[in-house]
Amino acid sequence: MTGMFFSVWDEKACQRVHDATLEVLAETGVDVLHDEARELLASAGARVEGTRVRIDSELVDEALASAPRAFTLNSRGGGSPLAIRDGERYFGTGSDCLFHRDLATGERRRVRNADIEGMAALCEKLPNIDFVMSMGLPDDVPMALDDVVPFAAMLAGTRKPFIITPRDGTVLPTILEMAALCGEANSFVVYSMPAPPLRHDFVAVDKLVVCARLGIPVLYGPAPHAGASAPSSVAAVTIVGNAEVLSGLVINQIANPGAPFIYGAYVYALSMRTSSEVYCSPEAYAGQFAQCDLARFYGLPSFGYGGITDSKMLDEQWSAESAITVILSALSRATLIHDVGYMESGMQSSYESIVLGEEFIAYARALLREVRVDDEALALDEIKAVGPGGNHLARPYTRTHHREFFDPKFLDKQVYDRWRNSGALTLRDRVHEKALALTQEPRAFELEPSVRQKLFEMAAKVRPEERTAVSAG
Amino acid sequence: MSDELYAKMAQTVIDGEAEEAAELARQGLAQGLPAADILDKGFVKGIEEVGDLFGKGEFFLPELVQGAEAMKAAVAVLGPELDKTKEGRRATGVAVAGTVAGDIHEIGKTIVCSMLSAAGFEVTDVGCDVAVEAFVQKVKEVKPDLLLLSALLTTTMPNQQKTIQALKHADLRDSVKVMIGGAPTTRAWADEIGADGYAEDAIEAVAAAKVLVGRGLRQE
Repeated sequence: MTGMFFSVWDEKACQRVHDATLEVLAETGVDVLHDEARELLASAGARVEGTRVRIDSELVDEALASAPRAFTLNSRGGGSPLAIRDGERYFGTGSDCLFHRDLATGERRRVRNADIEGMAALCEKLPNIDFVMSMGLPDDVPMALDDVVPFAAMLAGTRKPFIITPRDGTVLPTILEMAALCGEANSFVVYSMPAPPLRHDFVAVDKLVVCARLGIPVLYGPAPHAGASAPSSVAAVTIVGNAEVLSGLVINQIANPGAPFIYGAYVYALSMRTSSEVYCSPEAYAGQFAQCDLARFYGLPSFGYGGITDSKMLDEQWSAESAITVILSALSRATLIHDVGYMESGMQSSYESIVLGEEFIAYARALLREVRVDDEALALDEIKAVGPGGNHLARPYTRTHHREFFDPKFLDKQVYDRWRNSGALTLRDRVHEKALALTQEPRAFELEPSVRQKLFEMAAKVRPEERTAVSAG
Repeated sequence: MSDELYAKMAQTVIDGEAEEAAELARQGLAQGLPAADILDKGFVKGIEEVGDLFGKGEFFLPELVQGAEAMKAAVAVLGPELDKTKEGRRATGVAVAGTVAGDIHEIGKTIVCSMLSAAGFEVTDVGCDVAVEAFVQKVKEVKPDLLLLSALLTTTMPNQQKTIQALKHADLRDSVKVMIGGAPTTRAWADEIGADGYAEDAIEAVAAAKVLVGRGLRQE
């Protein structure tokens, strides 16, 4: 619970938004397109009419009381576990981009499964990337397997914890087995997303229920869009998202009280000029601040995004937006901050954008470190010993502590001549070279070949019926 | 006198006032003005102005969508009268649009429907989670120039393909141009499943739709 963060809503404002959300849940309700979940809700006391479910405050209170405030997420060997609770701040990549910027050619092309493994292996080497997501929806894998085969690739690339986006709940037992085969079943969170406004589609709900029963942490992340699936007001989008999260939490906690749950919500906006999706905007971050305030108000771990750009290429917009969004997301104090490396509004991934994003995460971490006022930090003995006109460079204190300061790898700090003589490179050049070197050097982690083979075999057996249906069709 | 009324009609579309538009359409008919004139000299002028303002960046999607809604409200009043005339309704094209089976995401599709209406298409929006057979049935019934299939999920994209195949089996494939869209879809996917058209966003969708019905300039 140390360090700075930016808050937009105090306790009173959170209470008002919470009350407004309860009014929506009780009066308007939400659509739950999942028969079993509706039965669970009805037997718990929710008012069910067709697919519409109206939920009173008692049910929400119960769910908020039973959801854990903290839980741990393990790595599969290697790193220390992540403590998932308010006050911690972890960064990671995003999921399911359709396109990838080829590191060798710079070409924008469809994602391949090898890219997913490659980006995971890159993340294994980056100390400020704490968790990993797929960063791609591969084009060279049958559609029916495009969650579980990338999962095998991710396991082969890194030991860091995951947030994953399975197509449905049925595949989760296999995914648990695959993670266990690599040393730790409790090493991933499942991401589920309803279909706003105020609608929980079958797959979203199924993941909430199956995860609860299997004890898998679930992250419920609605994405209402201002002006499209919610009113054009940051507070109103937050209410719509909050209603979806809280009703999702109720379903999850009824299915298994105490199941680990992460509060995720966004404020997206539809571009009213182009009808495209806007990831990077001041409103998105005002919304992220508000939503993280709400999550803290509830005592739940939260979810945000940063290290992203809407730019299509590695240009000035890319570097500006990736810096701004890392800092803003860090200030929001979201527990898990994902999408590091996203380009083109989440449509494109690249090695370079992950590498640059990681530099800004190191920057944010240095910025938000507590400015301590204890004896060691005050260093009064040092100040007195060196005295007026002295020099601290030769002091052991300096040697001990100077490494705590941010040391940029890519933001150039050289004098002019040295910069010119070292090739007069741009930020983009330096990042590209580093990304290339990191991928060409030996991996930080190699999965045993027999385990690797077994993983891909397990993945290939999933959903045989759907596969034949698609290929025969 | 009637010029003033036509100008007011155009203004209701520019202001996005659907009830007002319907009311003025009724007034126009009550005054004995020809339905075709009410449309062309009144409301169409308004929607053209809306399109211009959007092009100039002064209007945004909500103004465009609400203009289209006002236009639709007026056409609903004028429809029966227009049907009696020799030319009938002269829509840019007739379109059926829906989100495919298993997918309940429909905002993108709804925006496309509005933009097509604004561009003069007669659009039947069949909603979301539309079964393959329901699309086939609707094509039989409406006989559209265009069928638009939306999918937001990679899990439901195959149902775009299945719908196109079902049209083939029902011997309807040649009677209608099929466009697909949705965030995870690509031009390559459109080609792979034998769709006639693809668009990345709603604005491009209108341009592509016009090309497919022979009312627009072919791009590329």
